[in-house]
Amino acid sequence: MVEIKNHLENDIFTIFVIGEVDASSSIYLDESISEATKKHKKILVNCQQLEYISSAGLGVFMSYINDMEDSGITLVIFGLSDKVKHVFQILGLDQLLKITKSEDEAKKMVNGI
Amino acid sequence: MAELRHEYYKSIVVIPLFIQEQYIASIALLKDVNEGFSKEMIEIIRTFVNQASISIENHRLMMEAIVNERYKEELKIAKRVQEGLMPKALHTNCDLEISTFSKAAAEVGGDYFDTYKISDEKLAIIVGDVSGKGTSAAFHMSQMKGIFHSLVQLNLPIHDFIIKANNALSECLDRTSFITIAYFIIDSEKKTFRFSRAGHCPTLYYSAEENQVMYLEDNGLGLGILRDRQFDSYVEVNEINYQSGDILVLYTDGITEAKNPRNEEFGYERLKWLLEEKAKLDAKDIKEAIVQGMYDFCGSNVIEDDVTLLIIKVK
Repeated sequence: MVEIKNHLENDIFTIFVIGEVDASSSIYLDESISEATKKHKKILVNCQQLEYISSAGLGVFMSYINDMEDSGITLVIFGLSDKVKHVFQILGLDQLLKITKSEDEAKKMVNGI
Repeated sequence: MAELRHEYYKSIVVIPLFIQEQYIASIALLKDVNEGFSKEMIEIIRTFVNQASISIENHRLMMEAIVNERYKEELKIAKRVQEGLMPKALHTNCDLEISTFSKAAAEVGGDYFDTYKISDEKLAIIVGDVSGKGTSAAFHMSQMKGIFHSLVQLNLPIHDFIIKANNALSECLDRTSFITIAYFIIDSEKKTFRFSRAGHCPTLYYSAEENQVMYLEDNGLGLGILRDRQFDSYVEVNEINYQSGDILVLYTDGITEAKNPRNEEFGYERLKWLLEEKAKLDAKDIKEAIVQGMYDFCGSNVIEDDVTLLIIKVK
């Protein structure tokens, strides 16, 4: 199961993804990113407590790549464990998404620094 | 029970129907005389109403069972259709022995593998994995099969095959779905493996000359992720000259992500160790050793994800 929390600080909207994202729980991730992209231009996805992501979960991230480019939204994923990061790398998503280690780096990246 | 002011009916009794403490309906009985329902009569009516409740519940359960049975039957048909989509006999060439294992976690799954003899020398091999699970994955898997068989006949360079497959799937897949594939053309004249990895688990390769096992971790991107021309720049094609004793292990993540009761994954390292240990065996025995190794690790033969494994060994 996955738990999703949100936090807004200044103009940066952070989505916390906690637990496991599988085929059934990926819809919650989809809903929360969809909501965030409607209202915010700077989005961080905190994955420090993401233990597992299935292909269906990766599909959610993938589906926003084109939308975000078109609408000037910046989404940065940070805090991936080595195992979860490897899953992004195998699929090749690390070449298309902004992924970084720490929250500080992610904030800089989302602010275009 | 009450008195009625009706020109014809003078008394009424209403008894509610409950099924498992939930109100379902009421039965109303009318009579043309005042105080027409005695205590005894109401007791008898109650008994009938209880019987009626049980009958209604039985009918509902029966209808539910019929619908469930129909779903099960449909899934059985889907399973049969999908089994028909898996190759019955694998093409091979004089240089190779091939052994395969494939098992879906549910009735139907999203794993795919196939072979095609392009010419006497050239053999195409594909292993694919559709994102998601179950029936939705199974529909996309059948699309992948159609695309593979349409394109492979054109004898395209691997680069073009991957790009055309991505174009075709971009029109077919829903917005959150993608397919990863490992695509190989094995040429027995030039003695080469040519291959590309479109986001799929890296193929495991054993070089007999170096007596070494390694993952072929070339760059690539899953099909359907970039649905425009930008995709072209992410396609990478590589080539290995093979010799007798070399082995390719193509598989899906159902193997590497198989879990034991302590929630640990079988992982890439265990798969590599197993091949190092079993590299001298023939393809069929290597396959059996890996499948058994995975089951032993998990402590059960029940798998959570679709599993596909192909062992290709050069004679």
